[in-house]
Amino acid sequence: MIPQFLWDHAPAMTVAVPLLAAFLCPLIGKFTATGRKAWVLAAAAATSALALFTAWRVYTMGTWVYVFGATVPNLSVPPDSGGIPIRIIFEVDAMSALMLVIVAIVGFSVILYSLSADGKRSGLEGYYTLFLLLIASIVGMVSTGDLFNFFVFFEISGLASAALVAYRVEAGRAVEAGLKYFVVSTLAGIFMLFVIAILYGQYNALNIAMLASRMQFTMLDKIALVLIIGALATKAGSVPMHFWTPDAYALAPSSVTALLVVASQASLYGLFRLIFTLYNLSLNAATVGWVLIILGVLSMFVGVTMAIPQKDVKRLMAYHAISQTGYMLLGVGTGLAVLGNVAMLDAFGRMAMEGGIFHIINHAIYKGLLFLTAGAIIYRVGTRDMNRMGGLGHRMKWTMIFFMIGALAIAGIPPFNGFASKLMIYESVYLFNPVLAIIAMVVSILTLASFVKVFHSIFMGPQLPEYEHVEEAPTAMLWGMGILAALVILFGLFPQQVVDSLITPAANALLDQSGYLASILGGA
Amino acid sequence: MALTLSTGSGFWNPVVWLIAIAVVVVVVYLVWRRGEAGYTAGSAQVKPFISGNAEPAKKVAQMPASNLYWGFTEALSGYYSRVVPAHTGIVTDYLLWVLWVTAALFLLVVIT
Amino acid sequence: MKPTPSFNRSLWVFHLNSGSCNGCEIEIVATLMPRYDPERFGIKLVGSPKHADVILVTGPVTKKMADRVKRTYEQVPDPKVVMCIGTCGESGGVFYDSYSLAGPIDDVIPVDVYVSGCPPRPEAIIHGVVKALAKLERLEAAP
Repeated sequence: MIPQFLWDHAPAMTVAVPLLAAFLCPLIGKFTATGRKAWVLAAAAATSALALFTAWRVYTMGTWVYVFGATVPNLSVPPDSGGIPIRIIFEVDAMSALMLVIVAIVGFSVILYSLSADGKRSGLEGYYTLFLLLIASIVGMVSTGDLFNFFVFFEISGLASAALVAYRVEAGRAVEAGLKYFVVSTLAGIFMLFVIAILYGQYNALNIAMLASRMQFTMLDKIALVLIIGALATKAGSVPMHFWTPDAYALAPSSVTALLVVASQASLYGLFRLIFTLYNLSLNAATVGWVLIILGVLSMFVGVTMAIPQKDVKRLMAYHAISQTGYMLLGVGTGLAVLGNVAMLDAFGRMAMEGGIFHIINHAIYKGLLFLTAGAIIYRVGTRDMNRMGGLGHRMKWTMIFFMIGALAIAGIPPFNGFASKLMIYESVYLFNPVLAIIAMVVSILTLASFVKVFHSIFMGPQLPEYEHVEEAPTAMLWGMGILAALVILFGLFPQQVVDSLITPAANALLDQSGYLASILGGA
Repeated sequence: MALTLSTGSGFWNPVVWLIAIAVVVVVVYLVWRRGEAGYTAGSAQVKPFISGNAEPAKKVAQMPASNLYWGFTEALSGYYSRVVPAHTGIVTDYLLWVLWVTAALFLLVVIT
Repeated sequence: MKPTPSFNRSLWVFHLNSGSCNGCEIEIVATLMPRYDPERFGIKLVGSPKHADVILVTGPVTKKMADRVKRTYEQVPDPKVVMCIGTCGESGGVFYDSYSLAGPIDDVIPVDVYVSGCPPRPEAIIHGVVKALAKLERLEAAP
């Protein structure tokens, strides 16, 4: 039923298909524009299908090791290599599989949306190329088991994102935002390069599993750890390195913004992967855990308080993205802080990690939905300034419903998915330190306040005369939003299903370093 | 099929919650239906009571988004007057923040 | 809306001042206080005309208030009873030839019950309310 080719090579194809499709886009677009749209949609659908297949196989049959260029795809340690994995290896374990699921869902919805949102603009031959390239780079970042490969995909995503942010050249400000994003991303990339140099120089290996088995946590390794946190937390958008996030997210086209959220989460995944799998207990778990917690609490609080006075709707949502990243850092940081203490880990550490990881997928879905609805409004109304909007609920009913679903989800209101993951975070972090849980709850209330403001000023109120001509968003955009909204409701109604099948394996995969090592080094 | 999400110290069952809310909504609706309308729709009775004054034009009466949370921003003005100017928009400042935070993390992680 | 049997048991009252000297207001408040205690009959003062069954209008209607009295009357849901308290509303009272009057109240809105006095005593106001109840029962009885 499923060809043997896919059984063997799906992880590589998940990167190769969007890569190839990206570079064929300009060629096809030269002949027919509709053909290019169909090509892009087909490529996105194929990528999502491959990603979901890979994830399904990993969840049902365990970690998938794929070696590039070996005689057999899972020959990670060839007999003549002296026990060292020598090729580029993709190791897709449950946590990577979760990120692949996120990319599959959001990537497809966003491309479906973008077909009508950006379909009438010029310069499209570069746009879809970069879009598919961004998707390919995110898939690569989350699947790879090799540190330098991670850096390569990290740089590709930085380049593609910066160019996409700067897409609206005519306004000028988008180009400035793209430049700022690019500069910050390059600094993060340089830090990562230093880390690779330090680790390679010490241990003579680039494969994460190999490095983990040789890790001794010398002073140089501590420096590398700090650089990793600095670089990847910056790219994930955590306070106090978050300044690029509102600029870039606000001025990018909305479909790109939704995907930038996933790219930031891929950097967050990289942070967790390197801390948990590369270092694990060799580092001082309590200190590093508290570092993540402090970054998380700062992100939550500064993000939401800066969001409340904003008048640009996408800038406001970008600050909320920063705030929600704080929740993920808080959850996983709590798990890290009690990593050494088995009793506490079982009591609430695992639950906190599951909450943080569940929040990653929930956030990708509802934040993507919110940015897409904001994009639909901006598409019809022509301005991002909330002071000039009003009474749009009379005409744009579906957009209003989708916005309500997204806003209630992000505020953590039952029965949507945000509530489920936030409940897990509150209850487990409360057992760790009650003050943190209380801060998290207050931030949740402020999030609700902020979105009530947005909802009221955009949709509520009387029909304004200057918006008499505004009609509902185009169908492709509604379908893109609809997929995400349906998932918000579904994940909210059946959270235990999602946690059992997707999240708990991912959390266990992060915590279990020996399993990761065994798949590459112990197995063959 | 487990419908209850169990966190370590609590549980949450959204389907039961929804059913409970639906029952409550039905009961509320039945009670509400027994009431009297009390007004004739479409007449002057639906206009807002502003001490007898006429309703101002729609545009004039609408509160713009920036002013909706004035009380909140005013109350936290000590915080906002420091945090908002920190968002300068100058990209070299952004880089400085990254470097300073990394330096602070150095001291924290390397020393302890 | 057809008055139900329980309508007469609780009449909610809204007070509207159309330029009065405040003497009738004081008497109205005195009527509602525990000495005469109409609240035991369910008569209570409300803050919005949209909750009211009876409007108590005091004062001669000044020119500036005429429009607002009319709008407030229109915003009261049916069935409604309008009671004019004090002689200012009947004929202008001591201000009958003032430059700023728009006329007695029944030039502006239809009135059901007149309570004379300057100001009327609380007993007179209660007598007026009894007459209003009688009128409501007549309205109810009539198809």
